[in-house]
Amino acid sequence: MLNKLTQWARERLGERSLDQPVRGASWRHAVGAALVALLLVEAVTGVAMMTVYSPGVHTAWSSTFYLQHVLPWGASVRAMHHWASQALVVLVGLHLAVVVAAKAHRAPRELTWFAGLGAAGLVLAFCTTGFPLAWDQKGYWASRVETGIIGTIPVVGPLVQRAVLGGARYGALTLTRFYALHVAVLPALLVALVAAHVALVRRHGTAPRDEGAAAERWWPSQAARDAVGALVAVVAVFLLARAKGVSLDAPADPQSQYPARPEWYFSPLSQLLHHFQGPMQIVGTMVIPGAVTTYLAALPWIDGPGRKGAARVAVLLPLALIGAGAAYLGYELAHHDAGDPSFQRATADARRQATRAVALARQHGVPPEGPLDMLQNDPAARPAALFRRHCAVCHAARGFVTERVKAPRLDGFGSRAWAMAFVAWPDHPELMGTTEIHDMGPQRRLSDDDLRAVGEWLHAEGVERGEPAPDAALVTRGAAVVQARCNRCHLGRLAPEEEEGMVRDAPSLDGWGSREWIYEQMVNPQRLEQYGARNHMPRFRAKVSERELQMLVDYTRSLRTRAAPALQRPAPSPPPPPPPEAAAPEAPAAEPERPRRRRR
Amino acid sequence: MTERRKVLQVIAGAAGAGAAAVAAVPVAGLVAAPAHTPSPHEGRGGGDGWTAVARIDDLRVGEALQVPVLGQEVDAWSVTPARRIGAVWLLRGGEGADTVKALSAVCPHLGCLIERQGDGFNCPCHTSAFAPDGRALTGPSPRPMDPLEVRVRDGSVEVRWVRYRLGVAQRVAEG
Repeated sequence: MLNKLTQWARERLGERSLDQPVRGASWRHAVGAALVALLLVEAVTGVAMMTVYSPGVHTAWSSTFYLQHVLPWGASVRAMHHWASQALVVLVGLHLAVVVAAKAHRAPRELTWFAGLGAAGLVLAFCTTGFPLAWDQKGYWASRVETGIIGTIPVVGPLVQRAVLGGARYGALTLTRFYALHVAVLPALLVALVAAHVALVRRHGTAPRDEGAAAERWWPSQAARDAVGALVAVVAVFLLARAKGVSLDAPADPQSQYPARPEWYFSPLSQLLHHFQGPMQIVGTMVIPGAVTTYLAALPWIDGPGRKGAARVAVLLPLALIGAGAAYLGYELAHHDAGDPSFQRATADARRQATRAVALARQHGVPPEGPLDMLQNDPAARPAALFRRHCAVCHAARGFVTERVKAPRLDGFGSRAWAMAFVAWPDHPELMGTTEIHDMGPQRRLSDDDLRAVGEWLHAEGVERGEPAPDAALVTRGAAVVQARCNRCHLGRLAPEEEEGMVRDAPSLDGWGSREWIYEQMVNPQRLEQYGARNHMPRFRAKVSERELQMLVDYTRSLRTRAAPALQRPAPSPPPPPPPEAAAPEAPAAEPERPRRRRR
Repeated sequence: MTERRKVLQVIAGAAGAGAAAVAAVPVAGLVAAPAHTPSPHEGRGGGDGWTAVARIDDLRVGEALQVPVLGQEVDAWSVTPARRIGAVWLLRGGEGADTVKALSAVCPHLGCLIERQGDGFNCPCHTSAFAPDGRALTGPSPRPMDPLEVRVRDGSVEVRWVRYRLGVAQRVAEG
């Protein structure tokens, strides 16, 4: 049956078949077969993904999410595509080394060598164009940096960059251009080059050392070895894909701070940029990569026929140096990142974002505005994001990076501990020390019990229904102290008896720490009842919507249960110097009890 | 044919087929997946399925009114709230609220939108004609227009929107 079918085909197609004579059938040649097999894996997994993937800034991430997290086999196919590409890069390097060792690049095989080098370059071009297609943070930023480098090339750089990006910016047209290259242009070129490569190998034989071997038929002597090579490669890729999978990062956010890192095979190039900066940058972007490419292209002549022994070692030394240099640079970057806490934080943050984005897409689907909108309007993350953007610019709080603190730390704001710390040492750099308002000094004459009572009273002002009730006796005692001492300056319902020279113009303590108080502080910070005209806090009503204001109030309230800044009461006299990193611009007022008229 | 040659042939065939299978199975699985994997957001429209489409006062006795049905549109990963997802012909037979009937404006033949024609209805795509009560008169439609559940609450006409399978004589809801 099979013979009949073969016969039928032979009669129509002629004798030219795969069954060509070969010399020196060997396992060495199975590497080439494995490469072809992996290219085929890339082709079929790629086409399978094209049935789901949708290139567009609003759909690329979403469709990749759907592929990866919803459709059966999607994660496997995507992971196989990824791991086959990794394996291809490794096998291309291995193939190149085997070829040079076997002197198979020498005349008359220069064209075979060129076709192979071209194919290797195309494999890297596939990696470059494929990486950003998922339009996730990782791929987007790596690719944005790579295309940024193009712009630094002298003379032609900006022009080439615009052609690659499809305009001045990295955006929607960049994605579609990369997609077209990845699925149509590059495959066509690669098929042509690989076909030429294989045809030339057939014509000239594999390597000089096989020339003396007995002639055999490709089928089945070499075919069996090729098939086993292909099987090993495909199974290895399959197992890697099953075991390691491939990640999908959070949707690309052009406005985010993301620690862009290329795939490992490009990290040596990336690290070159670190070593050659400023006017020397061109050495890293053009000179060294150009020299390596030129050297490889000229290798059939540099390591020409007749070179042997020490002379051969000498001309091949650059090849070893290239390999070792690349390995070192890659190691250097990995080592640096492993020891860089800010990089570790950023990647952990990115992982959290990725998990959240996937959870949101799973739960609610992706809105028509796209996945970035979905993530930025995350009902759970929104308040913290608002706080980061509007509050943590000046206020310190755990979990936020405040470059220049200009306002009190809000961890534990509204709690007893925070209130007591404030009364004990208002000008501490963690409290009012970094502001322009330094009217209140440490309340040294307050006994420890009175301090506790005042803390309890202030805390009680903001306690809501359902929260643990404050200590009633302490609150009563605190109210007496507030009335007798605090409210001689502070506004509020507990007015002390009128006294000559008493000016009540300090912030009201009524409802301190409550939602209403926080809201008032945000919409009306310069009101006398808040902190007056010298308060630098901006008014937030114009900056955020009413709903966002409520979110900020709720978020600030949620900080109430955190541990407040731990600080000792300053010693009776003189007050201890504040921590050196933030010296208080003025010394704390020496006489806390004296009425102050400096306000306004 | 030598024994060695036979062994090599078997190895080549088996390894080649094995490699192809390892790649082909996941690929076939993925390509077939959307056909049997509904979007996880399908049917998560919220509510009890009733959608308000008109006010009872908008309907005049003896006349038909076509109204859009708004709802959550689910398409694979994308979920769009408040999008037009269908259209309904509302008919009011008399003064009472219980005389309101609703017919899906989607032609049971191939899904074009059915128009009003004279007292009855007509599909512009393949000229299926329907009686005022939705019965199929002439043309290729395999069944009458699809009636939808309808109710009137606080003066608001609500329907339960269902999309039925096209081109078949039986009325089968699309999953």
